[in-house]
Amino acid sequence: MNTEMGNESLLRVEGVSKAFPGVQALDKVDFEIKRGEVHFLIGENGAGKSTLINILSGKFPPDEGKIWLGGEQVLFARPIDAQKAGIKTIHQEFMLLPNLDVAENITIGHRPMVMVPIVNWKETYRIAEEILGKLNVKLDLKRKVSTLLASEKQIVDIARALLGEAKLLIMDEPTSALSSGEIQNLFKLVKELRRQGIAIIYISHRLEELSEIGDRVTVFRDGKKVSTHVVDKDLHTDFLVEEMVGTRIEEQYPHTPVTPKEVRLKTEGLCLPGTYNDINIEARRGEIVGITGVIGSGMEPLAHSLAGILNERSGQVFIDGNPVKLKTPIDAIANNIGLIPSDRRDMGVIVDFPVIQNISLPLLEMLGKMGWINMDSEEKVAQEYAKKLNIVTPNLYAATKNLSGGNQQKIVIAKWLAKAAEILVCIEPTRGIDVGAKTEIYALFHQMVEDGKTVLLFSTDYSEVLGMCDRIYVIRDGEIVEEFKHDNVKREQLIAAVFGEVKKSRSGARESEA
Amino acid sequence: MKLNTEAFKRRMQESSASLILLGVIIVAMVFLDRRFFSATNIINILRIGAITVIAVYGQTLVLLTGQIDLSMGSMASLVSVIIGICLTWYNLPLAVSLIIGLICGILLGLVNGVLVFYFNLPSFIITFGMLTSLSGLARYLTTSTPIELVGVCNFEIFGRGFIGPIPIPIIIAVAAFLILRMIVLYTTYGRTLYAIGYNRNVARLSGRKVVSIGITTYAFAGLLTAITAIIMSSRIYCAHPDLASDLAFDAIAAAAIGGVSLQGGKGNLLQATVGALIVVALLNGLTLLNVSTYMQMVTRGLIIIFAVMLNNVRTEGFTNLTGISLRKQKVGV
Repeated sequence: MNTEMGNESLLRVEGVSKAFPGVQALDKVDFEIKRGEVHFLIGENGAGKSTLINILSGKFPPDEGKIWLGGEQVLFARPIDAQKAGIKTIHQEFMLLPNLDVAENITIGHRPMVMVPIVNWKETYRIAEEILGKLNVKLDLKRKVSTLLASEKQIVDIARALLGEAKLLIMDEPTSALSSGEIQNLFKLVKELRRQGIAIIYISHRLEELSEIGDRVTVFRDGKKVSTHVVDKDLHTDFLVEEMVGTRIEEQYPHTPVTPKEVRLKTEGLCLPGTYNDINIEARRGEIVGITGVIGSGMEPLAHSLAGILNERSGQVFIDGNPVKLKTPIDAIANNIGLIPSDRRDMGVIVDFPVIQNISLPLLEMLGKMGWINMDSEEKVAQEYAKKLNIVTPNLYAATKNLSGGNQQKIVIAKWLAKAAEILVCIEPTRGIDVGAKTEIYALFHQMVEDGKTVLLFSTDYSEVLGMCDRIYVIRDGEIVEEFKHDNVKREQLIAAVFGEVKKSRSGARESEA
Repeated sequence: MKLNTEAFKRRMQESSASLILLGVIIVAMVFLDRRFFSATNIINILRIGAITVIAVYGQTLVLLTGQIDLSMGSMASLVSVIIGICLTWYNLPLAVSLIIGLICGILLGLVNGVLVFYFNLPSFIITFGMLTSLSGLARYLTTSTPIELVGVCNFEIFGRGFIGPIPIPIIIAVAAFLILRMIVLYTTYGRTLYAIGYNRNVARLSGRKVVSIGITTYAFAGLLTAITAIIMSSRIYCAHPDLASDLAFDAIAAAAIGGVSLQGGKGNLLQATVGALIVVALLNGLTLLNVSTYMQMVTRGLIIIFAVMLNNVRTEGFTNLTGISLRKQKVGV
């Protein structure tokens, strides 16, 4: 695939770093893209892909490092600088004006004028037609953009980006909103652009797309570039995944399986159209059940449904054999379900509250009569759980925002333990937490199931899921595709299930092209 | 108890800026006009201040949830008119008329609350709409003529009476402070108020009844507005369809200048009280200095603008005034 066209370097990045408060988002990254190649960026969330494309598109400057564009060193202070230099970005959400027609949207910013303020409409439609012709696509220029399909909107967005000079097109998860038929159209378009010598940076979580249209792929992990590979038949997906996920330092997983007891939570045919479908899972007392998949697989919405946040689903949830309604968080809490959300600062704790008030927030009614809060009982309960969970804070009245991420997460757990929740729905509970606190949280989970509680661990950290869970469900494209037991699953099997039968579609694509 | 001293210290610290401002205004006024510090003027300020203070309490509760109530002024006028009608047209006993007035306040507050919290509509627009509608209603009921209440059932004692040496409005304000303080600090309701203001999401996910607490808060504000209406009408011996058109604005200015955050979550009743006294002392001083009422209007407006600026500096630092807020910038990883 990668032949005559792509040997001339278009853009080169040298030693680029970028830090945000508390995290080194990019660490001395070198990166190069050639004219007319489709270059994939892959990596887990927070690996540094987005930071790199934000720097390339001028959203913010790097802390250090150099960028060369066609032999010339450039520095983009604003997005408009990058656009003028021919670097165009297609965002996940299309930046279009829904009430204008196709041609008007394509020519935004380059509208031909007879004289200001009179628009040269004839020229407008001619330009739009010409650019769509270049892309080899047919679209009614007079249709309102709001009536278009997602893939057609994307075409309009791409056409607009190509108007004026475009050397490099950055596509951020372009297939995430498309149906499979539409994806094929997009691929055709990408190939056409490549033929015309335009370089494309393509970010995707779907590795099977790599073998269909990718020329080269660069893997990111923890803000660093791991490697760049030419895409050919010797490049195995498992190998890339291994590079993405990394072989981490062996962490301590203090969980030894406890004999699970009776079924506590069971779902029958849970369905949220477009998100997840026909979910049948169960979790027992004294069991840590993992639910894992890639981002966008429907994992997080499923967890939110169990916590009463997403209530438009169909299907039935049973707790201890009784059907329950989980229409609101209050319902979930009444059924002893506690949510440990992935977004701690927006959903887990009130960062401006003192520690004590965060712990007591779900259990105020238990702390006094007739709506009064007994301050002494509040302090006693908070003290007890702060000690039990080893929450490190100067005192109980310190503002939660001054605590470390690990301690904030322990506060979230503390409030549900204090509320005597029996089922804990945890989403990425150890993300962004240092190793020490991680181990402590794992130990807490183990303690909880030993006490007969049930932990549902929704996580994309595959080592964590393998290390901590008694049983693992794999969710892919909104469906449970596999169920593993703790003692008979290998890491490779789990990862293969999470990312799907990639090899098959790979060879299929190759055959069809040959 | 450790908790209370620490919490008290924190509250004093939070109020310190506005306390200093109040001190500066008082000292400046004393220098500019000696009459300012006379016993009669101080009593006068406190008596008028009591009205603003009670209104500010209502506004503060609403602001703590992160919402706003612009409808107070015409709500007070309507309640005043309704009480006047009960007393003169239907010759109802004083107690019954007052209870009807207070219930009207609560009901109107409930309407605000249901629209804002149950239907999830923007409070600024909703209560602005109520401001206009209620004012129209008050004028329609009275054909825009005040109802005189001179000598009707001793109605004037609420605004003009004394218990011992202390004017009744001040007693009502102090009672309101003590009761509301207990509610805000020591009840599930009060805690939830702050939780909603800081982070409605977390409050909801922690099982707090966000909607009903929010509606209750608007009802509280309505009740306090009705109490304000009673004192004000009593003070001027009449039920007036244009009783206090600026009430909500004074209340918001006072709350903001006292340090109650307009974004919700931050603020307490002490700050609200200090803020109200600042506004009243300032306006009183301007009157003593013979500044025209029109220039006083200008000042009122400037107070609100200044207070909101101050508010932003407090929460975001000075950067926000230049348009670059560092705190709001998201980490783009």
